Amino acid sequence: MLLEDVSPTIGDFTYYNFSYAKKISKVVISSAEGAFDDFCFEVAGGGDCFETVPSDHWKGEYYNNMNLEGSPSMVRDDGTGFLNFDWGYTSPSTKCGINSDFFSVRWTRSVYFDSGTRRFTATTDDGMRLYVDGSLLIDKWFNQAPTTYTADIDLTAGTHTIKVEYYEYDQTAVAKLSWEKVGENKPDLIIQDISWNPENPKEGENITYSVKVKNIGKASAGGSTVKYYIDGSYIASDSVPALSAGSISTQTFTWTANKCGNIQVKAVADATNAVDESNEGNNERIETVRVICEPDTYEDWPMFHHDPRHTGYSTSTAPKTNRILWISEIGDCSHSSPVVVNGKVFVGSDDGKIYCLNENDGSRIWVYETGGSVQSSPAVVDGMVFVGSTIGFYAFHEEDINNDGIGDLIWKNLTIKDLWSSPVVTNGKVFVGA
Amino acid sequence: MDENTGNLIWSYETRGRCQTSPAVTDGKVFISPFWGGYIYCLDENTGNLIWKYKIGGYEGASSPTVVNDRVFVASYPGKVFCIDENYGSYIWSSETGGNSAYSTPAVAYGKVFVGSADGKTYCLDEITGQKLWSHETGGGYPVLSSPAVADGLVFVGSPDNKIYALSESNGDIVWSYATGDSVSSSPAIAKGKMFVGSSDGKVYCFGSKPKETEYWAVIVGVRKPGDEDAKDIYSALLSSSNWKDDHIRLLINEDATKDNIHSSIINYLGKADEDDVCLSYFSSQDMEV
Repeated sequence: MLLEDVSPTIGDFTYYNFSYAKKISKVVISSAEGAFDDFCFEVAGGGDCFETVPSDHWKGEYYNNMNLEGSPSMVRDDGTGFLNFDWGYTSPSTKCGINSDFFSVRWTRSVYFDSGTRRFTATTDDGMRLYVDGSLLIDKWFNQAPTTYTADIDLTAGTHTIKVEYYEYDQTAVAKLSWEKVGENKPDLIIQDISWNPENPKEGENITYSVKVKNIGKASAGGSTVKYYIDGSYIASDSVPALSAGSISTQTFTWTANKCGNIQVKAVADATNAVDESNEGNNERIETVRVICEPDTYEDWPMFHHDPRHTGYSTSTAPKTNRILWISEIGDCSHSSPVVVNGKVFVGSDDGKIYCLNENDGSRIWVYETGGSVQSSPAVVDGMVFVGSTIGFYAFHEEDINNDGIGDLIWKNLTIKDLWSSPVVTNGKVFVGA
Repeated sequence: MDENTGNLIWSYETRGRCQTSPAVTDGKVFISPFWGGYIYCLDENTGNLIWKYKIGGYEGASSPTVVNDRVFVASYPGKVFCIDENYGSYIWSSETGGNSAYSTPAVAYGKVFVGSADGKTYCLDEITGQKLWSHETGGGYPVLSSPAVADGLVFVGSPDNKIYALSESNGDIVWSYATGDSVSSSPAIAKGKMFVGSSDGKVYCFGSKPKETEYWAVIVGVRKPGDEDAKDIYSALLSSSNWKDDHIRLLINEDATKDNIHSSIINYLGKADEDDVCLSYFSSQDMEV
C-alpha cells in the first residue's frame, strides 16, 4: 500500500502505516479542497531503511509478509560475508518496522568464483530457496525448525549471481548461507605403483606388469579405464572398477620384451576421463624397466652353461625319466659340453673334431677336424659356431653350406692355442681364456 | 676377438693360465682362471681391469656365474664364493668340501647348484650361501660336470659314469642313467630334451618320445569257423582308422605255425611301448594251443 494510493475523506483522518512506503524521507500532505495548509513532516530513519547496495554486497529486501509481495519495507546492505542471521524471536530491524514473525527476505548479490565445485550450506527457519545464476538449487519453502541443507554446483570462473529467498512464519527465525570449494571432496585417481615380474626381465621374455590404481581423493570414483604404454606406444587397456576413497585396484598386463635396454612403461589412470577428479593432472606414472639384452629365453642352449652369464638354467621343460631318445657315437672321450641351437647339437671331442648332430635322431650333419683336441664347449651365436681346440680357435657356419658333411670354416685364429676355456659370444665379440 | 673376423680386440694377462670360461654381462667380463686364485672383472670393450678379488689358493677355480649383480665362483679349497658384481666386494662364502673346484655353479630358483671335489652336488641359498642340501653324485670322486637346471631338475654328470637328475628342492634323485664311462661334461637342456657327452665317446639325448599311440594286433584263426572269425576281426579292426595293416599280423590255418605265432608276437606286440594298445586273438575251434 502506497501512501499516494490513500484518498482519505474529510473528517476521516486516520493513522496510516508509513512502513509500506518507498524510500522517502519527507512526507507532504496537501488538501485538495484547500481545507488546510500543506502539512509536512520528516520520516524518522526513512532514508536508512532503503540503502543503495553495491552489486557485490548482499542486498537484503525485507517484506512484512511471507511471500515477498509488494514492495519491501526495508532494503539493507547485509555486507559481503556469508549470511548468518539468527534473529531468535526478534525482528530483523525494529527501526525499519520489520515484524519479528511473518516476514520474508530476498537477498541477492554477485560473487566471483574461480572454477570448481562449490558446496552451498543453508540453515533456515522457516522456508528458503537458493538460486545460483537463476537456477533453483535449494528449495525448502515450508515451515520448519532450523534445518541445514547442502547442495553442490560446478561453477565456471567468473561472476555469479546468488539469490536467497526466505520467509519466517512464527517462533524463532534463522537464515544462514555459506559455501566452500569442494574440489577436495572429489575422487582423484593416480597410478600408485608399477611393478613387474620377472624383476630383471630379459629380451624375449614376457613381462607381467602390475599397475596399482589408487583413489587418493575424498570421494568415490566410478568405473574408469587404465591405459598402458611402452616407450610411448599404446599397448593395452584395462577396466578399473569403482573405487571408494583411499582404495586401490591392481590391474596387470603382459608385454613381450621385443627390445632390450631401458624401456619406459607408462600407465595412465582414468585415461578416458570418465571420472571427474579433483586433480586431472596426476593420472600418469612412468617407470623405467631395464630389459637385459641377452636372448636368454630361447629354449636353445647355445653355449657353455647356457648363456653369457653362465646361469646353467633354461626355461625349457626337461625330461622327467631316463628314457633315451638316441645315442650318437663321437670319436673319443667328450669333455666338451654339448650345445643345442636350431635343432642341431654341437659337441667337441678329444679326437679333435667338432660334431654337428641332428637334435632329433643324433645323426651327423657335419664334422670338422681341427687337428687338436676339442676339450671346450662350442658357442653358437648369429648362425656361427665358435670353438677352441688345443691348436687354435675356429668359427664355422652353423649350416653345412656346401652340403658335404664337412663344417664350413669362416675364420680361424691359430695364435690362440691350448684352449680349454669355452668361449662366450655376445655383442659381436668372442671372449675366451687361454 | 671380433665375432666376424677373429681379429684380436684386446687381451688381458691373468696371473695363471685361464682355462675357465669367462662370463660376460652388463658391459663387464668376469674371469676366474683355474690357476692364480683371483677373480677379475674387466671392461667388456677395453679389457681394462675394473676390480679383482683374491679367492684363495693358487689353483682350482671354476668358471664364474653372474646372476643378480653377484658373481659365483667355486674355488680351492672347497668353497663357493659370492662376490658383488659391481664392486668386487665379498658377500659370502660357503664350504663345500674337497679342494680344487671344477664344476661351474648354476644359479636358478634363488639357489646355487654346484658339483664339488668331495663327490657331492651342493645346493646353496643364493642370498646367504646357506647349505640347503647336498647329494652324493660322484661316487667319492670329484664332480667335474657343471650342473644344468631346468624344469625343477638339476642335471649333473658324475665320475661314477652316471648322469643324475636331482630334484632342485631337496636333491632327491628323480632318475639316473649309467653311460659307459665318467661324465665330466655339462648337460645341455633344450626343447624338453637333455643332452650330455660322456667319456665313452658318445652323446646321449634324453626325452619323452613325441609319438602317438600305436595299435598292434596278432590274429590267429585255425579251422572253420575260427579262420573266418579271425578274418572278420581283422576286417573289423581295419575299418577303424587307428588300426593299420602293417601293425596287424593275421595268421590263418597253415600259416598259424608255432614259430610264426611266436615271431609275430615279438615283431608286432613286442614293438609296443607303454602308451600303445595291443590285441591278440586266437580262434582254434576245439584245437588246443
